[in-house]
Amino acid sequence: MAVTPVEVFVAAGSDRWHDVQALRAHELVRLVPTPRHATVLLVAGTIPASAREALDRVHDQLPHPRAVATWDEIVAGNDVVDAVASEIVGCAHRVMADPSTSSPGRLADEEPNDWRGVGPFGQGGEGMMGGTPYGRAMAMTADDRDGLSLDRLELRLGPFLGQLPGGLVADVALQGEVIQSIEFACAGSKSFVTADRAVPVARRLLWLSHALHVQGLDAFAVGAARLARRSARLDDDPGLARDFASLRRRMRWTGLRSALRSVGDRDGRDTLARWSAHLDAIAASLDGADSRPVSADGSMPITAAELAEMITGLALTDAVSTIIGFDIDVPAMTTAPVEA
Amino acid sequence: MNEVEQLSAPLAIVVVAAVLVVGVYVSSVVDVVAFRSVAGQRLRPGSAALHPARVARRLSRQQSVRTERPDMILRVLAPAAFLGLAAAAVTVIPLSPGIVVADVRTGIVLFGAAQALAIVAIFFHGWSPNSPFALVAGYRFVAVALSYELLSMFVLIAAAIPAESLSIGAIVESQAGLWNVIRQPLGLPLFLIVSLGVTFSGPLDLLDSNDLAGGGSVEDSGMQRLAWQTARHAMRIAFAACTAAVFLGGWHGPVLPGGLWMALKTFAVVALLGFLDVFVARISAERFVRLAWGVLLPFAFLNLLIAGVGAL
Repeated sequence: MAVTPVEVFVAAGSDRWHDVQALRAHELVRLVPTPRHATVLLVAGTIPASAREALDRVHDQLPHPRAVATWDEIVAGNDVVDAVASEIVGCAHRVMADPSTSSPGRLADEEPNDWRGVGPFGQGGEGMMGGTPYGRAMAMTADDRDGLSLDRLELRLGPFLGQLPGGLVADVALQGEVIQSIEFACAGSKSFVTADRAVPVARRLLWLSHALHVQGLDAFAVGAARLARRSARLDDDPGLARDFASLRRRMRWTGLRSALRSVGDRDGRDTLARWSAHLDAIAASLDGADSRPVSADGSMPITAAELAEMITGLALTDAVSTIIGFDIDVPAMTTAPVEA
Repeated sequence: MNEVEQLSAPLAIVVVAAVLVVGVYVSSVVDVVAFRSVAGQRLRPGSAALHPARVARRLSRQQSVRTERPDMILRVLAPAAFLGLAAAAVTVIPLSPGIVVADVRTGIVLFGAAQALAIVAIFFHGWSPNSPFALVAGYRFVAVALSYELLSMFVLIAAAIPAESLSIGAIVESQAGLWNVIRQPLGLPLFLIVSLGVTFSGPLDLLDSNDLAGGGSVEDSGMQRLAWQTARHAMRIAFAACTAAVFLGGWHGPVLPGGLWMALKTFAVVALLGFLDVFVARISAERFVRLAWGVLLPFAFLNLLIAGVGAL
């Protein structure tokens, strides 16, 4: 029976974040960028204690009727993605059929912070601006990098923000869409956020699927996720290299090159060059008709501090493209610092 | 010139509502077909045809979440205004020879005004939920919109020159011998870019985009989301119909009735916009502004020059 895909928001720990991208290949499931659009919250991987409250907040942002599925509690057969998708569809059908079973709120329905009661309008800033009324930062004018005085908005991004790798947390100050400062939460300022490491080709294809999604190419993201699933299932799939080449040819007509060129320049390499290196590595591995591990983007490893410096001054959209282009290894970044 | 038949007010309301309801549904189906075709997924005609109805049913049963301290008046007004402006734009477009809801002699101006006011409605959509990503998306959209608005103005004026009238009906009449897509070849691609901008699609998907976690729609759920998506598709229909009338000869065509030609051409433009939405990657606002002022605007001037020389 034909049905509409169930809309799912994924709250994934860094150890499971790539795996869940494979769900994009499933016709009965659609990953959405915000919990407000979702019927089901999928929790996947290890959620650290520091992220529990954020997870509860995400949960409470889903509109009723809503349901929760947990990846690691699903008993999988041969195909874990199929099993997870079936569980998600089942959860959605059950809760839509009986809305009284909708998952109740986890946090008290109250303001996150008391009204500050400071300043002429009580928000704790100056005049009508600034401060943190009810715990949410309000923009306040400040000098920007060009010497102009513009509204400055300070935000925490992550750890469950759809456009960034799962588990990544960053404190950012924006003026307009331009990043004035950014600081990543990691084990140390010299923690490498990426490295010239070897990973399976299926994982690289899952990175591609997410990266295409962020660039607005969701239909192409489905194609990349399907290739990743085939790659993970079969070591010897002679059609895989041909189909990847076909996907890559079609990607050339999407204007992606124009969107990524000259974004996030470092050592003479921009985001387009990093994408090309990723795609070349995938193609080389698939041409060998196996799923050998492929090396990462081939660029020099970059530390969190260097990445922050690189994207300061970029528009948020270019900053996200730059971060994604590096295929950040979040577990290594947050738990295993490598001192230079 | 054909005798123009002015519709009575009740009939006009029925006609505009019918055009928008059918148009929004068809545009939604086109989105499904475009996505599945490009993604390489199985395309079941019955499933695609019923998809918008199923989505509408699901969203109508979903909670519309109220955000923390929203601007509720603007939150309600934004989709209503966007939809209303799309309806106003449709009224000045002739549906077939001699049939137009509002035979306004300055139809192009009214269409342009609706398009300009749409920017305000879209910004309200970003502003009203009191949410950072929605706000950033709203500001970003306005920055881009100011650039494509100028394109639209020059392209539509150029189309009006051969007709020696600002009435869209007169512009269609002026294409009896030669369509504007041939006479002014730069006009159609430039106007398609404007259409992508107003409906925040494809390369200009800078409002409700994935890089901002859904951007202006980050807080939308239930009926709020359904209303916004409906308004967006209605605006796509208005621009597709205007494109068909102003550049593709409107009702002109062999054998088939004029109204059918108009519907077919409008559908073709809707399909093109739907596929561009799926097939083209988003570019950053800064790049588009540079492109608009450095390349597209000079092309719009050139298009105006071509139209002027042609009219001599």
